[in-house]
Amino acid sequence: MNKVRYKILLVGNPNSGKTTIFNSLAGLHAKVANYPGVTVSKKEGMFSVGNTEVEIEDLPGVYTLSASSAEEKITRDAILENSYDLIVNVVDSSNFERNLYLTMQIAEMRVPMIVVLNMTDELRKRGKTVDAAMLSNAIGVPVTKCVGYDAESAKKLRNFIVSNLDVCTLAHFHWDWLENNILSKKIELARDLLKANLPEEFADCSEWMAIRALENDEYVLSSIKSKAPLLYDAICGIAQSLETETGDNSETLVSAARYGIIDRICLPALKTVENPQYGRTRLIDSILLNKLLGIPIFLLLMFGIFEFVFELGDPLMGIMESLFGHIENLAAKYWPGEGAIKEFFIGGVINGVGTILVFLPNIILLFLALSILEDSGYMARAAFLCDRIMKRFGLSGSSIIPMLVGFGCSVPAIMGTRALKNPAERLTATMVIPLFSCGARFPVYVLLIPAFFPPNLRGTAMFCIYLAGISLAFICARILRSTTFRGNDSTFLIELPPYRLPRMKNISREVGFRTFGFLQKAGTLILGMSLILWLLSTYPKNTAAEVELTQKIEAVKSDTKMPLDMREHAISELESALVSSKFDHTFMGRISQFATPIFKPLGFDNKIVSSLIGALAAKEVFIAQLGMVYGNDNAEDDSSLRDKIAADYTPIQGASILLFILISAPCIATISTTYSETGSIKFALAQFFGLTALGYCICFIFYQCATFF
Amino acid sequence: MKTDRKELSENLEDYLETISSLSSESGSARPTDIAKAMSVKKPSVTAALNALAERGYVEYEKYKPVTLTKDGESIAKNVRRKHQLLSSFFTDVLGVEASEADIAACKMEHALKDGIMMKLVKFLKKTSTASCSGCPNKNCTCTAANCPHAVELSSLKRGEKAIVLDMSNKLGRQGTYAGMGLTIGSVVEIIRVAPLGDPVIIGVRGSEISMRKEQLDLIKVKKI
Repeated sequence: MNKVRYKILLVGNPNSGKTTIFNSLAGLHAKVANYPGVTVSKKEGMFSVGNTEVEIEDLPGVYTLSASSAEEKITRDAILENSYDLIVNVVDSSNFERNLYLTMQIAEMRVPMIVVLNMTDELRKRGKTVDAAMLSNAIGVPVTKCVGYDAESAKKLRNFIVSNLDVCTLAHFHWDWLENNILSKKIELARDLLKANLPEEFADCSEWMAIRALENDEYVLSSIKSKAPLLYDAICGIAQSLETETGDNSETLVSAARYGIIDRICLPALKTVENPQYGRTRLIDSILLNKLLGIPIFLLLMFGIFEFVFELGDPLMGIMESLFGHIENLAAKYWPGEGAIKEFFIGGVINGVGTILVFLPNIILLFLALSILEDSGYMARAAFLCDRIMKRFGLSGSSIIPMLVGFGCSVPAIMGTRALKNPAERLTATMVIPLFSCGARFPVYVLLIPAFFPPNLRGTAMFCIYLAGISLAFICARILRSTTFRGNDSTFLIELPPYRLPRMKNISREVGFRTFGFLQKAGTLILGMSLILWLLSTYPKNTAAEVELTQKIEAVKSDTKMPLDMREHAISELESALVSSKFDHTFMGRISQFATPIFKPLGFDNKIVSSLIGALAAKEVFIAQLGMVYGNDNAEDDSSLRDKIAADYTPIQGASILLFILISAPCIATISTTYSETGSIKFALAQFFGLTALGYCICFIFYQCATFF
Repeated sequence: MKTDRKELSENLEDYLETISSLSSESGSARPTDIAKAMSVKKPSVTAALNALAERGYVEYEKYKPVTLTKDGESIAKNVRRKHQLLSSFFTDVLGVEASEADIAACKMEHALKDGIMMKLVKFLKKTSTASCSGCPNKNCTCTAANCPHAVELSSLKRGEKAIVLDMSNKLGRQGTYAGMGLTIGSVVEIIRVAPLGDPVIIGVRGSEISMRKEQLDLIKVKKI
């Protein structure tokens, strides 16, 4: 028997439990991708009942279909595109009235739809219930109740969807339900005008177009304008006369009228059955958002998350590192023969993959923490608590979380800026996030600070370097928001959803999706970039010098007459010479030689410059690179390296190096993520060169002033 | 509107107005009634009705009541609204006597362009308290932005409830607020102020949303 394929769209408010329903419906058959051009994830899945296969597309959660944000535009375009059989509108029954606003907007588009009343259990706790049959009668489409996470309920929902696939049900919210008022007259007028003057195929949606036109919808207005300029003038005239006659904004009138219809037609379906178990959310908020306790609890929670992520993540990272060390060794051992390909594979590919995967434990844990914060409803509260502070810098409270994550790693932090709805704000946050000292910079500080500062100042120095990063980030944000990324910085509008216990299934799914997204987009870029870095630091080879020095080392090794300690000393010196002659000959070495005079005014010499270039791969590579330049193979052994550094550089040079590490040139993983998240090479380059230039200027001023006095 | 208003003389606008008010009062408008109401001779009524029918504003056949078309109705309404607006401006703001105001309004209504009318509406909303002065604070369903009991949402204290009367255009897209439940006519409640004093949580239509005080400044409400 042939299978019949259908497609449905899931549409609903944020926090309406749409994702839970998607997960329950699709089970394990889900995949995530991105919508073209924007970083809004696109989730697709499928289920089958008997011979019917149903494809599901989970559209982003939106409050309206006015297309004023990327999510709204995607959702609306998907509905308009009409390449589906049914729209499943998920309604949070515990927030019935508000959710129906979107239902009404969908219904206006005259598309086949059904309504799923989700979270009826939560509504029940409030002592209320929705009469599904009555609602169904009122709005003219099938309505069913559902508890999203419940398997039994999901099964019923599947059957319900399948049974409604071939029945084309159009909702009817009639505007003439509004009493005889000016608005419904004007809608009628505009509708008839559109119906009479537009081609036949628009006849069905003429009422929708009329409503949207009165709501000042740019998309509808411009499409009318392009099809019939005279009609456009007439429609604008209707909108204008509506405003004239009522003295109110026509957009406001339409939305108020929608609620009017909802109040009259749908609210009777909401019934009180028993006394409510009152306000769990309010109770929790009275503690978590308390005037005195709110902010300390927030800070404590953030600290807790950091401890959780890095205490748990670091050992895992260590395991990953040693795992890849082993793989490299094994590959080196069993790969037959020698040659460029082997070297490329081991030094480049395995090493590059290792670099990404070493990130992975921390990233997964951070995503886990973020998902829990989001699903529980605390994320919005954090934004609420911090908005007052962030407002000063032209940002909104929502940007605090990605910035804090930036102390761990810039990569998930930049991915976390997806939560910011204002594009200008999101770009600003993305640009300044590398200024928050990430976990990889910490070991560099640990190496350098004791080398240059007396013990009693070390703590202060560490504190100052973090503080410098934070202050710079906020100053830059302020500057960016008032220059390049301007625009509506005075509005802050978020919903504070009720607290809900995060569901492990949702969380693990979400973490899986996000991690996969990271590997797919940023991961491949990071791999590519680290391959390029590897090539630059390996080629061209200085074969002659290599052979000569290796021979010398062999000669010393076999020279049994020399005392043992002298021999070891000679060997290590020769090896160090070998490393540096190798490095000097490569592109990277040449670049660093070329760049050294440029960095002279900052107090850097050749060794520092080459280590800084190495640190492009990842900030902690600075240590390894410096160790290599000093011929100190054992990078773990900090103290001997530290003594050498302390002997070679003054504390002022040291401070300058620290500052430069903090500010300049984010690592390639960060740049790659910026590129994949903004989708623009321009922003990635701007971030890279902008921060490097900033670091250069600050270090230049600092070093010149400090040495002058 | 697709019709060209300039075509219509003051006189014809008056006819439309009369037909409209006659049909809403007594259900139909016969030419004789029209002639009586406007104190003109019947032949001039017939001429005017022919002219109006030609332009598609009325449906008129001999010996039958006259009915307005949709376009005609909308012009009549517009004129009538202008009339009311002007006469209330004269009586309420300027203190002119009602009969005198009516005559003046009758003449001026034709000259009042839509743009001026809108400005006048706004002006009246702002200044006049006349229409709302007797408004009892509680249980009053009036949602006029000029209600004397209207205050800014930001002036409310925690726990106080209010009904939204007006939302400024400076807030940005009204649709975005509407999607979260906030429109004219919504009942709002101040639930909580952030520890640092700024954003405020307000409850509206069963959900809680957070906004800055400067946004609340732009929303006019009336306490309930």
